[in-house]
Amino acid sequence: MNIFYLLPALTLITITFGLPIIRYFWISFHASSLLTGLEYIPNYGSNWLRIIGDDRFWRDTIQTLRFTGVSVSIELIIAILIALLLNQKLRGRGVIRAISFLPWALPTAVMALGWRWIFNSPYGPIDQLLNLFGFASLNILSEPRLSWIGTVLADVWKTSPFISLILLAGLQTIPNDLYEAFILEGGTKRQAFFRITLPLLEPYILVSLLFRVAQAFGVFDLIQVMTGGGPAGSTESLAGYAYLNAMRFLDFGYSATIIVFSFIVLILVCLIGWITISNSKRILSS
Amino acid sequence: MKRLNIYILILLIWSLLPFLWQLVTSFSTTEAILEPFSFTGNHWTLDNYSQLLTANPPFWQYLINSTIVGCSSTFITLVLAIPAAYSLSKSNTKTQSLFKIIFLATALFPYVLLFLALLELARYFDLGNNLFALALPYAGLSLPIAILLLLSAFNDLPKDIEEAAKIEGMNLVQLLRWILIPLIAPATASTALIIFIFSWNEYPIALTWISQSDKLTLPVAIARIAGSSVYSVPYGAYAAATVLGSIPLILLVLIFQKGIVSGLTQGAVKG
Amino acid sequence: MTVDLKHIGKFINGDWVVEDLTLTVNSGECLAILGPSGCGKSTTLRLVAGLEQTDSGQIFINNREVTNVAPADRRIGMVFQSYALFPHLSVSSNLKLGLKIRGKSAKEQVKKVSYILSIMQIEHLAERLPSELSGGQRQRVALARALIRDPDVYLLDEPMSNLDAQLREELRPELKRLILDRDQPVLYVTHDQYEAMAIADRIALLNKGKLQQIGTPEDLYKNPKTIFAAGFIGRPQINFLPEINGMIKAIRPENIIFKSEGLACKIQSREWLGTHQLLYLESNLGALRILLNSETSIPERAFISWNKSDEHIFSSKDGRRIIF
Repeated sequence: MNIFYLLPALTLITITFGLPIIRYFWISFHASSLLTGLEYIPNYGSNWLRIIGDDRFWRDTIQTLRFTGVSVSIELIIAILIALLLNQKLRGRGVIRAISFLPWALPTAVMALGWRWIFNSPYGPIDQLLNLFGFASLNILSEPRLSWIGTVLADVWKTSPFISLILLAGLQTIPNDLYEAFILEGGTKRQAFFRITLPLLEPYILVSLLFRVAQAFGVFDLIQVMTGGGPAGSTESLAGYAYLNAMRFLDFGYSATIIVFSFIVLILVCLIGWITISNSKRILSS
Repeated sequence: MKRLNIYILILLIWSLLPFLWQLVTSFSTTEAILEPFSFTGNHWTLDNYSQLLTANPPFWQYLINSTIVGCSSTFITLVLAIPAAYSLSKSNTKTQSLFKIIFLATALFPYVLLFLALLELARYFDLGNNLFALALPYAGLSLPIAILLLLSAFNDLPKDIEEAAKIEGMNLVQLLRWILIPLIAPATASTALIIFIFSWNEYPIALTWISQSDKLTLPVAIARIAGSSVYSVPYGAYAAATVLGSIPLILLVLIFQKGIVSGLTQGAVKG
Repeated sequence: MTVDLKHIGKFINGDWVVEDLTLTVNSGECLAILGPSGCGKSTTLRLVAGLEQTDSGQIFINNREVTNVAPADRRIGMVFQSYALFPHLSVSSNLKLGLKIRGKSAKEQVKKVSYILSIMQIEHLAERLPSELSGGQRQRVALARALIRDPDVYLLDEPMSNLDAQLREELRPELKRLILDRDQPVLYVTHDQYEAMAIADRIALLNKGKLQQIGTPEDLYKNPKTIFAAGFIGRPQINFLPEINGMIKAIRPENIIFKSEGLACKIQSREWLGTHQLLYLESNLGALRILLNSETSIPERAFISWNKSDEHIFSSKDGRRIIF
């Protein structure tokens, strides 16, 4: 292997990923805010003590986990259905596929605004239609108990195509004679889905889940644009809180601490998920 | 086959409806926007578009900015990723799987969380408000997935073909020029498309790196048009901006949809 | 024009894939390298081509040492098992590319390509892509690509193994006309002993990286030097009799005949093969195969016998032929 071909790429990757992570650890042990004149002054872990007692941080952690869990689960189910549908022999399949991938290709920030308009009260189409038929406005995004559902819906719309794309490629690797052999054994189509399609799709499902859990956990644009974290902080995510601390409160030390803490939570979530999956696999296969 | 058609219809409506609603809104007068389901009076207008194109800076400026960032980050990524992926494909399996794991882990990383440190870098090296500089973090963020995709494309090439080329007497440059690059062209195209879409759509880094209004990229500009309060959003102009900003992407996806399916997934899953 | 391999070896993952191999291919000769899969025959060819580096020994092409010469400078023409045509280039571009790389003028390229296309009788395919060709056509293009270089030696790696049996038979005389009848030596790797016998002047039989025997097809068939050679060459396989006093006797199925007396046998099953029939027998000496003319009638109580001179005798210790 010629290391010189690899070096430029590795350098840029290290600068964009490696340096920031190390830097965050360093900053998280420093105070840097307007009070310090934006200088970095060591504060010996008081950021870390603060985060443990910060109710807003823990609320955002739970909200982020809820957002991630609910939206990724729904996305997976919808994506499987879309992928199965797109794998059929259809007329105009190319165009149908392209259209179904569109939500993924459009800018999150832009379409988040589109969804905000759809959920708008009273002028958005949902509330307009409700009013037209004599129902009260739903006003999803202004209702603290409902607003997160609005963000989940927008996220499901935006990112299901991504998963279905990966699953579609997985479906295309399953040879058709497997199904024919299964039908000859007397299996039904429904059984074929659970006995053949799903098991063979498993690596593709796992990869897309990994990607999506990590992305959803870092959700920022969507919420920032749709609700700005509100109402009453009911949709605020960890990334949003970190952004707020850095850009609004100019408290870089605390923002970095939130980010490092988010890494740790994400790694824990992935580990727990991994262990659960491998355990359940052992149980299922025994 | 009737039922299948119904499912397809549902899929198409689900995928297109939010965008179609933007399309309708973008051609609606202010009154029509406030009462979208009443078709009395003056409903349709082109005002929203003309307002966008005559604003200062005019809307097409953002399209140009995003194109500059998208093209330059795609170019930088490919120039770095192709040699890297090629040399990895020549290395032994142990090295390859080590790098695959590293790249997969970085590709999975929620990059949004990097915004703060990247902003520091931008300040330190004075890279703010520079579209070409913005392409650098985009390239860095895209490199892991790009290398994974291209690596699997190189690994899929039959070994014989490269050997046949060797017997014909090609050096590395000729090999790349005549054989390798043409053969991985489909994977390169879909990788390029993914990088381009990412760069075109990226929001948090662009938001923090660019503040000058004539340098904004499309998503930031649109979010800015929309303002910050729920009630003051000029939705007509905003919807028109959405439609204009989406057309290039819609065209790209329509043209390259075949390649995306095969190209995107191989590398990710094999990694 | 000759190819000489002197004590060449290739060591991979703690094993000699090719070990101390010495052989010569003479001008105008076709040498088949024959053996089961994994015997090192393809590696040998790749060593000659320079696609792999030798770990010991020397390689000479035309009395010039090429052991450390780049593949492109060894003046070889190679046909790959998969043909390895450049999939994105048309047939004529596939043929032209090498000439272009070697700095031949555009005029010369066109002239040479059209000449080769005409002797291969594939002019009508010139503008097609490899994916638009049948297996036989691809093979012709691969041969053409080897021919156009006018090399000092032809290296053919299982060139027929991707074709069906009928096509192989059709292409064999053509292969002879185009390549084997030239002055250049040919190294022809195959796992198919019939193909080796039909095409080659001599056969080098390899097993586990070692040369078992080299000689004319007839020589290998009639005087196998090792148990492996006896068992590998000839179908149906030779019968090995139980070991006696450190000796293993072998007798070919076609050398066994029915007699009114001799070794008593029970007939287990019969395969009718058109010109011949193959019987599976059970005797005191174990299971035996015998090959008879298909007209021969089968007696009810079978006794078999053979000429002592048809017996092949090997030492059970080192597997070598014992010559009295």
